[in-house]
Amino acid sequence: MSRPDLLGALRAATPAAPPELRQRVRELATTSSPARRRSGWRLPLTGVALAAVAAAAAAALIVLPGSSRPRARSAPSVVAAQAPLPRSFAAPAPAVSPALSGAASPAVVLPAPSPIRAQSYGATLSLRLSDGSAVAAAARRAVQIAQALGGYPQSVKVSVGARSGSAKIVLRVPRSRVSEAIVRLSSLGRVVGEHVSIVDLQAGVDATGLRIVRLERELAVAIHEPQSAATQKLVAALSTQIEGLQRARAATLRSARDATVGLDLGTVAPPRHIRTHPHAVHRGPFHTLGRIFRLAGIGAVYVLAIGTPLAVLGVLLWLLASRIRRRKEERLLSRS
Amino acid sequence: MTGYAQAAERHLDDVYRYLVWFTGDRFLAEDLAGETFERALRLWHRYDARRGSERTWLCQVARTVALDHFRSERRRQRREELASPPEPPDEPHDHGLSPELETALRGLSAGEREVIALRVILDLDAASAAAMLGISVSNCTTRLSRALNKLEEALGVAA
Repeated sequence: MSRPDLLGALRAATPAAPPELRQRVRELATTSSPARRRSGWRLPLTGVALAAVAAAAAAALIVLPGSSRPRARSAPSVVAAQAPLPRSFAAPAPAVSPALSGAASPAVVLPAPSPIRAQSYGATLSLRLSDGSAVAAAARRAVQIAQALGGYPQSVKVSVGARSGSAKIVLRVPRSRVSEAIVRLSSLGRVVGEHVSIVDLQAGVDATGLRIVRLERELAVAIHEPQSAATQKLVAALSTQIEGLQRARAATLRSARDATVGLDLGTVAPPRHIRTHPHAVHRGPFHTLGRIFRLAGIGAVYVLAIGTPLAVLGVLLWLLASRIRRRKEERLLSRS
Repeated sequence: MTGYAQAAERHLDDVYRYLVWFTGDRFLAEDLAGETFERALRLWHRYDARRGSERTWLCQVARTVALDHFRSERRRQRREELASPPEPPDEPHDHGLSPELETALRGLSAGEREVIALRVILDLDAASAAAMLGISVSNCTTRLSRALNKLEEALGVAA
């Protein structure tokens, strides 16, 4: 039998569906209506997935440090971006230098020392001024302020050039007037950092006082006892101990009477990027558009960086699953 | 008459023939054809004319139904083999062919009978048949050629 004959014989034997089956299918088609096409859910699902990816990318842009925020380029922003000193209790630094603009810096509000407890109070202010002469003038004025408030300069280091300068001043000011001193000192320039430290000394002073009282009682008892060599030795030891404690207590209280105020004066650092192109100064709507495009580009890069490996992995898994399924089917059909 | 009813009426014979060849059993094919059209009714909303003809889609549904049947049958046989020694398989029903051809067809696997059904009986083109089987066109052609060679060899021996 040739192949055409074989194919003809195979085609000739084409059984038709039995009438019972035909009737059954007809009844099925007439009595039941096919399920309607569920339109409109795939598209929203895709949209939701895309929105989720975009939101994840946006979140990554926001969360990742320094990834998307455009760096400050203009002069005021550069000044604001300079690393300030550690600020325990800091007021927000102004964006525009008052020393440059001529306006006074807002008064710094730091925690005030306690008027009734012995405390070691230290504050540091970092100020920025326009040039070297302003730094020198501010240093002089700082010393005057301290003296006017009953304090004194503990150390003064001033280094001034033609356009820049710096000064490090340590002032001792009566603790009761330190708040006023800080307010007046902060008006000398633009505050870029402030730091305050308060250490309570009262507990130690009280403990020393109690110990002195106890030793004085012991001393009184020892004095009234019959005098012997041992008693005299004890009286001398107690007296020495009491004097030492009293001196220490007095020194502590003396040191707590004055607060230490550090003043770090400096000039404004020159801007890192000085643009001479006129478009850099006169920013129009295209600048905003450019920033939007830039952010969109960054977002697209993140989506690609995160999405591509996932997509490749998904395709590989799908191919693997298809291959396994195909193998199983072939095994099944070869046995049937 | 709905689109589904028209498609069912038009392609019932093709689906039935395909299943007869695929399973090698007329009665089983009748049951599976009924099940195929029930399932097709449920899934009719998924049919997309741009992705293939109604006949191909219905045959695809029939194939899934038949594969499910083969799988469950295989599981049943395994369970029974564990419980008792295997019995000889039921004698398949004839395809309405000559006794020699029937004998030769019994030597083919379901996969080989399937490709003959698609390419010869239903006269599907190679691309449609390959897409339905999930294989490449060349693979489909090779499979058909091997199946026909096997059939010819068997007939040669029988003749």
